[in-house]
This record gives sequence, C-alpha cells and structure tokens, in this order.
Amino acid sequence: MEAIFQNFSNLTWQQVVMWCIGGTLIFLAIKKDMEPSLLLPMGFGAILVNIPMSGAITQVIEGAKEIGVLNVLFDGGIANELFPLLLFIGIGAMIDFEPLLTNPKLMLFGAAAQFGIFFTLVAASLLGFPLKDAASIAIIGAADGPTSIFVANYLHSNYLGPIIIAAYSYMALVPIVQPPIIKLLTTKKERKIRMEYTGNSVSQATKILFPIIVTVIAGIFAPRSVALVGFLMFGNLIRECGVLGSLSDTAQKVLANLITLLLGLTVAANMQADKFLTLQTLMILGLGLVAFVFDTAGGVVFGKIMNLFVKKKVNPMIGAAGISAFPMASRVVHKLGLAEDNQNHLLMHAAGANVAGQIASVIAGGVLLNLIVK
Amino acid sequence: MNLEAVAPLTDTLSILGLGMLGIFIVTVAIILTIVLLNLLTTPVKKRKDSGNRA
Repeated sequence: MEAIFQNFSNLTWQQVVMWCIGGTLIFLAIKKDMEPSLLLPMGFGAILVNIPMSGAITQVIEGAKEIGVLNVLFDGGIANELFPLLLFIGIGAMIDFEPLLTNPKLMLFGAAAQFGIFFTLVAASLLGFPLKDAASIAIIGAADGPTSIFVANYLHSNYLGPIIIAAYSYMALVPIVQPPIIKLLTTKKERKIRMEYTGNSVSQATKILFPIIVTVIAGIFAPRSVALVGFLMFGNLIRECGVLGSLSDTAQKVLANLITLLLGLTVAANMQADKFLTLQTLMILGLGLVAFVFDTAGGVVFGKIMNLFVKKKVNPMIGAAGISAFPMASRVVHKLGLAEDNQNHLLMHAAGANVAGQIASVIAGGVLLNLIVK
Repeated sequence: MNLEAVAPLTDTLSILGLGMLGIFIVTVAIILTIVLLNLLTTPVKKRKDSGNRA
C-alpha cells in the first residue's frame, strides 16, 4: 500500500505552481486563441515534466539512469537545432514575398525593427546576465520562435524554456503590445498618410531567384545565419518553383504541423520547476516585452526619419510591421490605419514590411552570433 | 568574447552599433538585388508601359 502512495511525498509546491502555469498556458491557447499550436503542447508538457519522478524526462533512480522520452526528443530535435530548422522550411513555403518584391524599400523597415534585439542585449547585460544568456534573451526581439530557439540553443543558454515562452507569448500579444507604442510615437496626421499600392506583378523568374540570392548574400555577410536563412528560403523556393506543388503543400501543412506539435512538447523538457521558477524567468519575461517595444519603436521611428528625406511620404506605422510576427503585425497596422481613415488600406505595404521582418530577423540572429562568437 | 561573463556596457553598445550596421548592409544588398532582378526579368516593353502610365 505504501508503494502506491509514496510518490505523494515527492511532490513540491513548486511543481504545483508549474501545473498552474501549464494550465494557464492551455487556457490561453484554448480560450484566448494565443498561439494555440505551441502554447497548448507547452502547457501540457509543463504539467507532464512536473509530476514527481516523471517518466517523461530522464531520472536517476537509485543510481540508475532512466532516459525520458522528452529528453530523447530534446537531444534529437532541439539540442542539434533540427526542429527549428525543419519548421523554417514550412514557414518559408507559407510566405508570399510578392508585396516585398514589388516594393523592395520595405526591406529597410524589416531591418530597423530589429533594434529591440540589440537594445535588449544591452539591457540584459546591465541586469547582470552573462553574454550568452543576454544574447539569447535579446533574440526574443526577433519575434520569431525558430530563430529564438536556434540562437538560444546555439549559445547553450540556461534559460531556453522561459525564452521560448516569452517569444511565443509576446508574438501572440502583438495586437495588445504594439498599438499603444505606435500611437505614442505617431501623430494623427502621420497615421492618416495614404500610400499608393502599384500592384505591379513580379516575374516568376524573380520569385525563383530571390530565395537563392538572399541565401547567398546573407550567407556571405553572416555565415552563421546560413542554416536559418537557407532552410527558410528553401521552403520558399519549393513554393515558387511551380513544379513541386505537393511538396510545398506538405511543407506548409504536414511538416510544419508535425514539427510544431513535437516542438511544443519538447521545449517543456526545460520547464522543470527548479529550473523555471526563478527571479531570472520574471526578468526574461520583462526583457522580452522590452524587446518587442523597442522593435516596434525602431520601425516607427525609422519611418518618421525616412519621411524627412523622401518625396512620397510613407505611413510610419508600417515600420511597426517590420517585426517578424507574421501576419499579426501587419494586421495591427492595417487596423490602425483604417481606424484613422476608413479608406486608408495599408495591408499590402504592411505585409511587405512584415515578410521583410521575417528575413531581417533571421539575418539579425546570424549577425548577433557572428559578433559575439569568435 | 567571453560568453560566460557579463559584458561591459562599452562592448554591448558596440555590438548594438555593429549589429544594426550589419543588418542594414545586408538589407541594402538584398534591396539592390531585388531591383536588379526586377529590371532584368521584366520585359522592356512592360517597363516602358508602366513608365508611361506614371
């Protein structure tokens, strides 16, 4: 009888708190529709790994090591960066770069909106995080889950779990985080600026050559970004080549769904109470918000600066869409534009800046690694 | 750089500056490539037509 109940004595209050956190993630996923494909598996995983002596994770029992399946998945899929890279093939296959290709200067907004990454690096270092953790926390500002996982894992950060939770949570919270910052930094007149959409089509050859050339350029300047950019662009090449329709469909749906499913559960292997319930986790959640705020500010301020030099004014709000969170950021900008003027349709411009942000965030990850890993 | 140590402010500020510069350099290279690609792959007639419309 004692054997049946003995595990109760192993339960700690910290594990119960983690069950509540897991439950909250599941609630947010189901009731609030916040990145449900990731937050739900992560929430369930958080409960799974915080059951005392959980068989889902590796345990040492009486000197003998019992390997847990989540650790096997972690070593096979995240420790070697495989899952985020495979997910990028699916994401690449989902993205239509046409709005960017018809108006390439939108690429500049993607670059400017990476400011939050580097600002957060400075802030995290000032708060006492070692460089590898500061850089891993800063990459939350990439607003791009796979890039965050890739960089944090590459640097062997001690805070992979909280970083991923912050990255995905803030992406889901973009419609709440961005509007007040955009409104704070722009005037009503600026928000009303209309931008003409030419609607020029792009040749098939451009669409095919674009992913190849971007991979080469990004690879030459930031070789550590090659895997990330390469897999993203490979996915896009499959989409645009016109002869691999079924592979493109598989990458967009089956591959992306399968990896997402495993990724959420596997990340939870790093959500054990003793690793997760720390002051550092709270600081990381705070710094993640800082990253998103300064990303948004970077893009908007860049738009305002651009207007000092160009004849055809741009609506500075589209700078906010330069963060990678796709398509939430472009929808936010579109809605804000319509709120000021119901004939001001900014969606295509914002979408262009948004896909530019997708490329720029990956490049930012590569540049960051190049700068700090010698 | 020592990844295990806390980086001094001067180092992190230089990463900030160099990082943003690096991203903009790559971005400008990509923009130029797109412009070139669009020029090379759009038939001359179509380019003239759109020029006349403007």
